[in-house]
Amino acid sequence: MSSLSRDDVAKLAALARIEMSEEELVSLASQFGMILDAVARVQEVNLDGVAPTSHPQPIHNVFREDVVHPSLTPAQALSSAPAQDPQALLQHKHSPVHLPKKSNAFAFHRSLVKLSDYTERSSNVRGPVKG
Amino acid sequence: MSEALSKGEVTSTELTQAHLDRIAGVDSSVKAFLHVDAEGALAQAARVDADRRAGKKLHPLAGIPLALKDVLTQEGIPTTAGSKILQGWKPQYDSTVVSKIKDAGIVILGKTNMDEFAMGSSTENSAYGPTFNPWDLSRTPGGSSGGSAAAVSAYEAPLAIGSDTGGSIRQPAALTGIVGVRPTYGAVSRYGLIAYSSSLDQAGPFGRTVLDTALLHDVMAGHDPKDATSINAAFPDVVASARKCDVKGMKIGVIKQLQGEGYQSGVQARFDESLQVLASLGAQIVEVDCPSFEYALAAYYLIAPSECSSNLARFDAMRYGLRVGDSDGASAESVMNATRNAGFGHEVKRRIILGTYALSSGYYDAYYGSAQKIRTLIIQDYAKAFAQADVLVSPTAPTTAFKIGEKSDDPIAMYLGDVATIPVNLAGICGMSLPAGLADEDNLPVGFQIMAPAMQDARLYQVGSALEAALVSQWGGHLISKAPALGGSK
Repeated sequence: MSSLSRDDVAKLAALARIEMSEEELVSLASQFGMILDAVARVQEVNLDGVAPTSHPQPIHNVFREDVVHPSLTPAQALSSAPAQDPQALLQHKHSPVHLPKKSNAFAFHRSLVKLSDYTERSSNVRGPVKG
Repeated sequence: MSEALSKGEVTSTELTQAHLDRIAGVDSSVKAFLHVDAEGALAQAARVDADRRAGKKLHPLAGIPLALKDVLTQEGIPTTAGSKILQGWKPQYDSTVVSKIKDAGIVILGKTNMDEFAMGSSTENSAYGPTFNPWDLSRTPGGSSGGSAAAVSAYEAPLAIGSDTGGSIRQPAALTGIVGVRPTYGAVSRYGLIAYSSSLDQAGPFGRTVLDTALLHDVMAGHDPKDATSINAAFPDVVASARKCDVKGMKIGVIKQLQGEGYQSGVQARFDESLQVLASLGAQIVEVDCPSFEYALAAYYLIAPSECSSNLARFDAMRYGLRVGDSDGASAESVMNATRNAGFGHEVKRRIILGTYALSSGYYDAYYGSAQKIRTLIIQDYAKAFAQADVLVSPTAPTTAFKIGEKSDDPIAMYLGDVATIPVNLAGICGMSLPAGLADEDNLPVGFQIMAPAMQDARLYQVGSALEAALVSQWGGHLISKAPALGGSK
C-alpha cells in the first residue's frame, strides 16, 4: 500500500503553486495511497527493452515559412490580463525565496513582463532583459 | 433539416429560433449550456438565409445550429473550460475548429458545460454545477463533454462539438443515446482547444445520426499549420463512408479484454446483439487479444495528470483570468498560489498534484516513464489486432448513466468508467460510440464502440452506418425518439 503524508502533499502543492487548506491537504493525502496503488500497476509489467511513447504520431520538426502574419495588437493581447498598463502585464515582485542565486530579477517591480522589452529583444538588443 | 433548408421549407432563422426556444424551455432542468449567444446565432442564421436567397452555393450544414463545448475558444464569447479560473474570459481569437464551422455557415448557439478542464467522466466537476441526463434527470450525462451530449440528446441542438482525452466524447454519447466520434489524433486542429493533456486531446463531433456526425466531422477536420501535431495528409472520405451502410466481408474484432466481468449485464446484452446484427449483415466476427489493455487505465492516469500539471501552469494570475490576493506587499508567488487555490476545483488540483508527483525526480522513471512504455505496448497490441480485423469493437462504457453524486467521492470508481475508451487515446487512433439500445434493467441507453487505425476514421462511419441502419429498422426509429419528454415541443 503506497502512501503519502500530509507534508508530502503540502510539498507537492507548493511545487505546483497551489495554496491548500489543511482540510484539503489531509483529504488528498488520504486518497493518494489508493490512487498511487492503482497507477503503480504500470510497474507490474516487464518493460525491459520497451521504448517509451511520448506522442502517438510520428511527426518531427514541423517547420513553416518565416513570414509575418497578422497577429494581435498589444492592446488586444493584454486585454485579458487582470492588471495591465498600455504596454505591459503587471505582476507583483517575486518572493526572493524562490529566486535562483545571482539573479538580477530582484530589480523587477510590478512590471515584470513588458511587451516593450520583448520588442527590444527581437530587434537585436543583446543580452537578457534588465528591469 | 439540411434538405428542408435547401428546399426553402424553413429558414435558418426559424430553425435557430426554434432551438433557442427549446433551450429556454428545457435547459433550466438539463443545464447543458454555460452561455447562450442568441444574438450571435441569429445574426449568423440571417447571413446564411441572405446567402441562400442570393443563390450562393452553401455547405450542406449551412444554417444548422450547433452547441460548442466550452473548451474551444470563440472570439468575444465567454470561454471558461468549466473553471472559475477563466470566469469572464473572452478570447481574442477563434480556435481553428470554430473558424471552420463558421466558414461552413454553421450557427453556434452557445457554449456547453463540461468537467473542469475536461477532467472527469460525469460533468459533475464543472465549477458551474452539473449537467443532467435528459433520459433521467437524476443521472449524469457522462463527461467530460456532458453538456454537448445532453444538448443533442435533449433536442436543444442537432449537432455539437466535444473533446475526447480519455473518452470524453464517446462515453457521454453512449450515456445519452447519441453518436459521438473521437477522430484520429492530429485529424482535427488543436489550435484554440484549451489543453488538458496535449498528446491525448482531440476535438470531435456529436450528432443524432451517423451521417450527421460525419458531415460535421468533415467540416472540423483538416491540416492546420497553426497546430504542429496536425496531420498533413489526405484522409478517406467520412461522408461517403457514412452513406455506404455496408459491412459485407469486413472483419470485426472483438477485444477479449473489453467485455464480460465488470460490464453491466444490459450493456453486455446490447453489445452481443449488435455483434449478431453485424454478423447477419455479412461481417466476419473474430476475437482479438490485447493483453496490455489491462494497464491502460493506470498509464492514462499517469500520463494525463503529468501533462496537465505542465499545461495548467499557464494559469498564473498574470495573463488572463482570475487574480486573488492582490494586495500591496503580496509576492508573485503568493498571488499565484492563492489564485490557483481559489480558481481550481478538487479534481483539477488532485490531477495537478498527481502529475507533479509522477514527474518529480526520483519517481519519474517508476511512474511517468513506465506509463510511456505501457503506451508503446498498447500501440503494439492494436497493431497486432488490426492485422486480424478492419475495425475493433467493445461496449463504450461498462455501465449505463449513473446517479449524480454516486461516484463523486470515489475517484477510482469514476476512473474505471473510462476503461474501454482510454486505449484509443493512448494509441492516438479513432473511435465512435453509437446507440446499441436500452439496457433491460434500467431502460437507459447503451453505447457500442467501434475503433479503427489512425487515419481510417472513414471505417468507423462505414461500420457505424450499417449497424445504425439495421438497428433503426429493428426499433422502428432512432433510439433518441424513445427518450422521455422533457416538456415543450421537440
